[in-house]
Amino acid sequence: MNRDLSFSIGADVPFNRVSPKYGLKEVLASLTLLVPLLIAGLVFAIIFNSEVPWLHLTWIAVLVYGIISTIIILRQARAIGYAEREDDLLVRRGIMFHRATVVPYGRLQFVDVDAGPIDRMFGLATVKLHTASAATDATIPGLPRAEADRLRDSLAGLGQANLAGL
Amino acid sequence: MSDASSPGIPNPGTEAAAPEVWHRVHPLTPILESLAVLVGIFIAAAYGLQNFFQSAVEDLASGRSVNLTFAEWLGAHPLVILAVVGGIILILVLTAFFSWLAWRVMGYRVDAEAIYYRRGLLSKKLRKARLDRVQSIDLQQKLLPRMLGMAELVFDVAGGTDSNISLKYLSKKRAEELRDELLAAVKAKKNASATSATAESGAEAGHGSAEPHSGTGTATGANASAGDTARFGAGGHGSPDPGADGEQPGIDRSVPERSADSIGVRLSKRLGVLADDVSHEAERSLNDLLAPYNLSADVGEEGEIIRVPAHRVIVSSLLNTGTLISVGVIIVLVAIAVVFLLVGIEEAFLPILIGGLPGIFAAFAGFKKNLDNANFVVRISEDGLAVSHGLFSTSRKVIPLDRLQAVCLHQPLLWRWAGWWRAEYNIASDGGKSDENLLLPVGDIDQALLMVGLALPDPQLPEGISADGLVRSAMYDRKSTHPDAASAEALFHAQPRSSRILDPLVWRRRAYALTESLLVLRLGVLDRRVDFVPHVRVQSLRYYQGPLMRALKLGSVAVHSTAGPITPLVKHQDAEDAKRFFTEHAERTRIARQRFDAAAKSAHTAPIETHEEDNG
Repeated sequence: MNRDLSFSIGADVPFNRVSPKYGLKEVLASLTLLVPLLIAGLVFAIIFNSEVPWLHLTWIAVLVYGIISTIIILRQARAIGYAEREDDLLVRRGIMFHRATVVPYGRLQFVDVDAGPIDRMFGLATVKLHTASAATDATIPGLPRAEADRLRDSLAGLGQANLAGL
Repeated sequence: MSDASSPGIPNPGTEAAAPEVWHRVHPLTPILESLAVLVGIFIAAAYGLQNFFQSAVEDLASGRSVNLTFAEWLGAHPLVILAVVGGIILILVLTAFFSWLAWRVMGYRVDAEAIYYRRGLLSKKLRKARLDRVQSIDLQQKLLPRMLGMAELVFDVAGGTDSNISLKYLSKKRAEELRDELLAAVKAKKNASATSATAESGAEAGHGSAEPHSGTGTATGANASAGDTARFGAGGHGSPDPGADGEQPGIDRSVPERSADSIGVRLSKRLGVLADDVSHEAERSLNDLLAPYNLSADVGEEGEIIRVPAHRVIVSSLLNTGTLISVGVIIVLVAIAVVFLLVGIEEAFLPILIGGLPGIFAAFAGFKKNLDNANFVVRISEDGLAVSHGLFSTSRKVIPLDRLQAVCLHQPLLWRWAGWWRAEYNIASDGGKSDENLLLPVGDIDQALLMVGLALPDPQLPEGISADGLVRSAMYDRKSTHPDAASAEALFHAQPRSSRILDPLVWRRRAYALTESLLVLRLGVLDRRVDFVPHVRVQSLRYYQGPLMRALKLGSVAVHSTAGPITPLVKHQDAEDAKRFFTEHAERTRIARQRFDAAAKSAHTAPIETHEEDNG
């Protein structure tokens, strides 16, 4: 579980992982769609078993897709990392698609903390960083509520530095 | 009624003393605003009349007696005519009355804090723009108001597209006066808030507002240093009695120049020092500051530096790829229609032509939009670059150079033979529509270099490379004939060979170059393009690598700027290089910001110190 799945960037700073519950939450969110599909597929396959036996393939496909996507989601969740460096925040994610964003504290306009219903069930929250650029996509999902609040407060404090040259 | 658009608005100081003074807009305003409806009614009436006459004429021509039953009926009932005429008069009177009522409640007010604009008879609206949030004040003249000598003032306020206030209509003279007064007030206000903001060491930061800091830039000028004056005098641009000017708040007495400021900002600051009739001095300052670009610019009347003639705009917009495509489509359609006609299928002729109408309209709309940029005139002023353009309707605005975030040069394929370029910018403001972010709609290379030079900070290149050598290398890649081309080319980091699978055409051209203060991106093989991003203006960075790119050992880094036509991206570089660029550029921009802030602070606290790093 502790193997570092992600790529290295940013001169080997230690990255914080997001909460392990985040993977479970994402899996649950994907299951809310997949399980009804699976059940529907199963029911149809059993009802029309004699006429169209290949209907069984659909629920098998859904099941296989569910298993694979669950594995991917769990691995993706573990690959999300963020590091509060001295002057900026570094967020990285992705195993197939490597993405890393660096947001200087001096550029922060405001920080959002969001928590949807499933998030709240797990006691999680998402921290989103906003700069003057709409392209900035620094989002840290799946933080424990307390950690999210701490991060927001610390970022808000650090963001007090000058917004040079805007 | 005529007491209304009271001349001579008092300055903000006396406004504050009498805070509830509402000024009326021009009395023709409601009529101008409802003119579209009136024109519609008129056209409908004309159409009805025309029908009547047409049938009458047809009847005459065909030898029948004119169908006068309706007229006879009217003659038999004179009261009907009376009622109709009375009704029309009543409608006119009522319109006039309600217009008058509407005009009575329309008004604007300026106090020390904000501009208020109210209107609406039934649903009252009051809009307020805080002076320290006002980004720019544009003077717009649409066709009809222009014919009547009227203008509207548009206040661009930070925060959302819908937050603009459009104050309409004022007489043009009044609008110009008000704009100048408000610009001064806005500047003074920003200076004041910036000074206090610096005192509180930027306590306002992080509240989603860029203003206190954009203000900081101007405040630098207000709390000026004496240090640079000496250099200034030595440079031969002696300011006429700086002490006397210093008494007035909001006027730059003498100017600390920061190398991170764009050259245009520094020029504006210098202009603030100079007396009124400055075109000669301005020219010298301009050429002095633009020395790295080896340019000699002419400063015409009222600081005019660029004028794009209408015919060049027309030709350039015809050479636009989009226009050519629609022209081609139209020609093909007409040809098909003619062929059908010749073959004898006449029924198909009209439908095909009518089917082509939307295309013609689209082409014309695009063409007309380009015509808006005809007579594009750029003047240098204290507040930045004053731009006015338009063939039928004139719109003016001031581009605040100290808030430009990125600049790009663009050359569509067909402009190549003429050697034309277009210059655009990103700015720290919402509601940026790309066709309004123009520095230069079309111009030759000298004009392009001039505008880019004004909008960017001094590139601070190593010895032996001139700035125009670098820019020309970025524009014309290896075809640059500039004497510095070889050494400038050495600054560019080209894409690795492995990227030719992903970019078969562009991989040879696309490259990035770094100077002390700038990131220069060379892009586009058919439509040439060059992006410039000053290090101080970078928001955040993003590294990206997909599976295919990983197989080819490539990586991309996006450099985030504010919304606008420029989205700088260092694409498909070697993966290790891209990662190194990502971490190093974060560091570089941080240092650049630190220097910028330090220069801003020291300008307040230690006025003797200067930050002149001109390398000539």
